[in-house]
Amino acid sequence: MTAMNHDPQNETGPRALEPVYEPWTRRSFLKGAAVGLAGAAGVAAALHPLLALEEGEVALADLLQKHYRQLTPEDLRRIMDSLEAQCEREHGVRPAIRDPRPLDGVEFGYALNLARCIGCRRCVEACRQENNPSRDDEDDIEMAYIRVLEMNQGAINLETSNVYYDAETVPREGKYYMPAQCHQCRQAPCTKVCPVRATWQEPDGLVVIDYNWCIGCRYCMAACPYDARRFNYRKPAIPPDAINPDQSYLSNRIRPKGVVDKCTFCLHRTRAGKYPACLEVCPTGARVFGNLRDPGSEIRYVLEHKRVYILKEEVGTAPRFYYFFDR
Amino acid sequence: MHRPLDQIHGYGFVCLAGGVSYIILPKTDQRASLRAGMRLDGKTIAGAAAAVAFLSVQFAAPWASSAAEPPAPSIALFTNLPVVARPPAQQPATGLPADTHLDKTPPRQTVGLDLVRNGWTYNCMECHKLIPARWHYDRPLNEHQNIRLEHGNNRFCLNCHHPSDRNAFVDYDGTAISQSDVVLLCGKCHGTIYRDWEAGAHGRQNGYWNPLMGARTKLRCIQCHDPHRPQFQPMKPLPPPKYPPRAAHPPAARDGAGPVTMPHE
Repeated sequence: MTAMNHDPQNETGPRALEPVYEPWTRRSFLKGAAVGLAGAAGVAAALHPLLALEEGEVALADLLQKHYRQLTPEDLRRIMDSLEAQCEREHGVRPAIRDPRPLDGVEFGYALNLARCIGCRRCVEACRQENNPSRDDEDDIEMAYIRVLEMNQGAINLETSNVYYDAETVPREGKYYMPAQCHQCRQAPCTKVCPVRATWQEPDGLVVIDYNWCIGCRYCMAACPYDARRFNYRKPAIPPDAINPDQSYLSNRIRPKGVVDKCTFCLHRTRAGKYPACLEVCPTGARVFGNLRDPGSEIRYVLEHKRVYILKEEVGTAPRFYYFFDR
Repeated sequence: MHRPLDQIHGYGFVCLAGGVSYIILPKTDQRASLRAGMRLDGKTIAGAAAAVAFLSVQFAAPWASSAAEPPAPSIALFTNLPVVARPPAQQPATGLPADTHLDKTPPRQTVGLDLVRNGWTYNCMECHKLIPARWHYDRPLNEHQNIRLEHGNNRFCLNCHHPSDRNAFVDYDGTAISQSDVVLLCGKCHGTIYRDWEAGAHGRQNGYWNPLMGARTKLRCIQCHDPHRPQFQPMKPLPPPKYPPRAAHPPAARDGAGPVTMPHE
């Protein structure tokens, strides 16, 4: 009988008498303190921009800045002034940051003569001097936009190429050289994958980045078939006397930490009518630059008269950078 | 290839003596024999005056240096020639003056044309009005020993140089091409490259791609190619990029096949 009247709900035994609510012990106190401290640190980190705001390092306008293409000219000028002041504060040099706009009726094209290039890397150095990338840092990765690939003659095989070649003199026997940089694709994969539309194509064909809008997710680097983009893992390290003061908002201003940057065909030069820096220094004249929409330009002459090779044509990016041969 | 200096001076003296005798001597059989000697071969037969001077310089030098000392005025004439070569940094600038951060040195230092443009008075005819032009071939030259002619099948000085006007080059029909038009000379044989150069697809250009916004400078043939040795000379490359510091496999052999650097297709 007693067994039948057994009611588990009202059972009284050792288990039911266990305390549900433990009093404070040393262990639980420490556990709670650790969690609380971690949380507080997280909150402090999240609020850090606001603290910087109070200290005057960051302007409120920078935090609330709109996308480049929604900015009024006055807003953009104010932002560029603030960037100039920031550069002067951090590097001791006050640059002149401009925002040259695309020229009407201009679409830039670039051609490189594989029969002439000797792999001397003068273009890489000129790019570094022109575009203010991070350098002189032992722990830094290579930030120059141009990589010169040493290839074995007989095929265009990237898998046996070498960018770390070092020799007494170039060109070496049995090798040829293929500098690679941003191809400014018409169907640019990098602009399609950007989740915040921080990178886009300008009317003159240049693919640019709003460094203030980039969130540093590096999807574009994964999408690029030409290894043309670089990520600023850290604040750029540049000696003050190496800073090129002729800067523009979309191209060679000193990048903040945590954003992607890339070759823009030296937009600040080419939109002013000048040649890009890599072409200016090329000792062999292997590089040809011009306006694709001008039938009399030298780039059109190359495309119409030479054997032209498009790197990774099969991926369908339709680049504006061409390789050609002339013998 | 390079002879000792005193020997070269001796040769120079020979040339001078030959040239002077060529002018001074009246139109006699002596002068005719001198000309015949020049035409035949310089190794064995020379004109009478030249042969005497040559032998005295050649054989007197080891035993008695004072015996065949050339007269002082001729030495002074040769040492007073202007220095031809200038360091590349002093070459006229190419490209835009604002681009001081870029290295725009032309690949080759040129002499003739820039010398004239920069106010030099060096004039090839100062010497060559004395020394007639000859078709040098298959034997070492006595003068201009620093010139090695490695221009493919083009082995004759007077294919390019004008036979009587040494300040100019020569066209197919014998007319002179001035030094400033050196591209026309090169275009005689390298027509396709000349066409590319005219269109801007060959050779180095600096300045503005847009002619409406600024001027463009175009290097001429001889600012990159030595006309006597026209193959583009090898250069020392700038240092390679830093290998990523924390990456797994540092480049195994600098000159062998390195790691793959572009993403796989």
